[in-house]
Amino acid sequence: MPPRIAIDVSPLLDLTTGIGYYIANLASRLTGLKPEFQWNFFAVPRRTAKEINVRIGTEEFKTVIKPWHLPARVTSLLFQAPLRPFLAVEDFLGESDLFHWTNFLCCSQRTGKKIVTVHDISFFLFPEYHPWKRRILFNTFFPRSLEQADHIIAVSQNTKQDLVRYFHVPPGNITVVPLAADNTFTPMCREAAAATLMRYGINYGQYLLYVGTLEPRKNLKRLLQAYHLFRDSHSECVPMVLAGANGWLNHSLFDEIDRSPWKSEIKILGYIPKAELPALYAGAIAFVYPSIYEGFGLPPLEAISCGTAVITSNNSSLPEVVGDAALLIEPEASDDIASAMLKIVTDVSLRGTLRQRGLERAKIFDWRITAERTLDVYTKTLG
Amino acid sequence: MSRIAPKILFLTDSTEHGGAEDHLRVLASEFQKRGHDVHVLLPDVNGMTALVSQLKQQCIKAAPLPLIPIHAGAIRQTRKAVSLNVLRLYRCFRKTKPDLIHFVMSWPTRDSWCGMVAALLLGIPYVVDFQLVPPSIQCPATTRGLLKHLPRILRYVFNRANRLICVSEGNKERLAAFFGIEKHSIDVVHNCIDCARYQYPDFEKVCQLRKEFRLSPDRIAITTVARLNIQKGHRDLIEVAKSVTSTNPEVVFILAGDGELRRELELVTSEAELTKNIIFAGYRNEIPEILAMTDIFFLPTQFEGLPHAVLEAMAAARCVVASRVDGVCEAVTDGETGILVDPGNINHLTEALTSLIRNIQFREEMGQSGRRRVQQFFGIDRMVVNLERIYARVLYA
Repeated sequence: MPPRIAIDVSPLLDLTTGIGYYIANLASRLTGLKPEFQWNFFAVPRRTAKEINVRIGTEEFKTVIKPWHLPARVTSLLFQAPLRPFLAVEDFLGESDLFHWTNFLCCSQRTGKKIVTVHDISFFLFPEYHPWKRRILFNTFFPRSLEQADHIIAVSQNTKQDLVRYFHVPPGNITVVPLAADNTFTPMCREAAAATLMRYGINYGQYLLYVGTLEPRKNLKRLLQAYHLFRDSHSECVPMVLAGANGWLNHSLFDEIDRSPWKSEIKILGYIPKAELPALYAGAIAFVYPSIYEGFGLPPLEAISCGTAVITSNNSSLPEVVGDAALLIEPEASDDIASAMLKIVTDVSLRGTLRQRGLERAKIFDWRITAERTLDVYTKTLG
Repeated sequence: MSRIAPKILFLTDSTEHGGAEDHLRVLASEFQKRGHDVHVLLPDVNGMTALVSQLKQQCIKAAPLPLIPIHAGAIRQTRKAVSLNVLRLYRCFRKTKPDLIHFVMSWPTRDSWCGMVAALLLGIPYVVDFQLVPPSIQCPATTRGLLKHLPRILRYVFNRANRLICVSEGNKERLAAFFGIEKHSIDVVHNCIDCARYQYPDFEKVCQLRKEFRLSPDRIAITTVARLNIQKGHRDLIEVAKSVTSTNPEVVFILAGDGELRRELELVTSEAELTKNIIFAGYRNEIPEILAMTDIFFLPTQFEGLPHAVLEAMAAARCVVASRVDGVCEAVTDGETGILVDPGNINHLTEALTSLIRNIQFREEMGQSGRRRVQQFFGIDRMVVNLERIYARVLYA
């Protein structure tokens, strides 16, 4: 009898984030690889929706969520509290041979194997970058989730090491399954990108780019300081484009941009639809991503897939993703970032070399490989 | 006096709260849970306030242990002072009427022997539990009073104890040799700990501690949990820290504990310009959380009984680097659950730490092995079962 696999697609209920992106790509390829398995996509209720149609790839899957009469946040919390046997996900979904919890925390279940995907442990290493409620939630339930899991998927070798080092998970219980960039992220010539770039008022090959949520962990204040240093030593106008949803704790960043002598050259574009990102990446002189910490780092991977030179941090998982296809910098040092900006902007052959390396490097990461490795984990766990 | 759950009086003359005193608390708590009527006598001094409060929280009857006064830094034991103390304890035992007295001894002992004399006078059976038998047992030198006869007194009361207990084979050998005691009258009962407490730390507190000690992901935390005294080898630790940090400046040594050597050690640390790499954390209650944020547990001790700190580190799945002494060798399996080095060998201690600093996999494997070992051999139930057998032999044989 084919196994019954239930996958938590809850993050897809919100605005598409990196984790939602992971689930969407993974789910569609899994069903393609093993159509004979019984797949069940479900969401732990965070909204009051009774039925949700979720677009995954080109398919539409109905996820049936039994209606709750409690507030959505309360029901979500109840699921995560250890209330077995009083409350378990099987009460609402029926039994499955395996449940894949795709977003750090697993909920109560009576039977079936349990797999948890861990994306990063920034809430633990950098608690100051997270709202206190999230921090307490994770610090309370995350260790329990790790202990209860039959197997853990880490999205990078660095995340695996962090789990081993800080949460003492035996290394044999963790499999690294890296993410990938969507196959729409490819190099784009000036003509193909022109329409999109014109909409945002930027010119092909003449700007520096950051893509990601605007939040403290992305180290945008230092990026700004580095940009100032760069512009002080480089007279030509090279705008700094910041693209991404507004996160949290950003007031001081916006204040600094307001006070900046290069204010007119710093462009904040807000959230960019996925379809327009390849043009933005392809048209940039360089992609700058001086994040303090990452679990994987999708934006640099997307950038190298588009043939864009990348400047990124030498810490956490980023070197693992970009390899030698990027200039690695010390994220705490603005002058290091500025010097890398200057080098890339003034050295055409360096950009060319990084572009070639990046395109080669990007081939290592593929959603099909991600899905296959995930299936291997399912098979191994089910025995 | 055949009771199914005998009344037990636990007694310690220690005036500082450390591993031995935590051991007493665990004993009192576990035997109370098993239905025994438990009483505890301990000195009413500042250093024991925390322990008294912990006992009260667990509804364990605790009373102050009378101590012979110390005058002008030297023990001045007149016959009158000693007799009064024995009499006080005699009265206390007569009132409490324990079936058995369990003396928990750390070293140097102070007045426990008065309690043993009182117990002998009343015919109450007693066991003496040595948490530490040091390499050389020296009594304070004096020509005054009864104290000059102290070695003979101790030999007398120890030999008349119903059973003697040591925490390691090495300590047993030493005790037998020094006091001329037959080895067959000494039992070895390993210390134990509550493993679950160290397996499930409060991660919110761990986050706060990481912030307090400024532990960014690139820093390696090497922790020592021990009193700051000569026994625990902190002077060697500073020498090792000098060598290790010269090639690994990201390493930070965290010293949890307090003691008489603190000022001296802080001065030496400052002179060696290691204030960024050595942190004196002071006495801490949140040991499970401190161990959870640690990468390597380090104990360069000179001598030991069977240190709780090592067992705690193993229960927290931390790799241990420690001196090859006494009970440490019985807890840690060299190369499997930790690395053991001859005490005082700075070079070897440095090599052991350096080999582990970059090797997360090896550290974690040893840490997991250590946890399994502690769960199997050093759990509370095992210790309590062994002690109950000893009590039964004393009371009913």
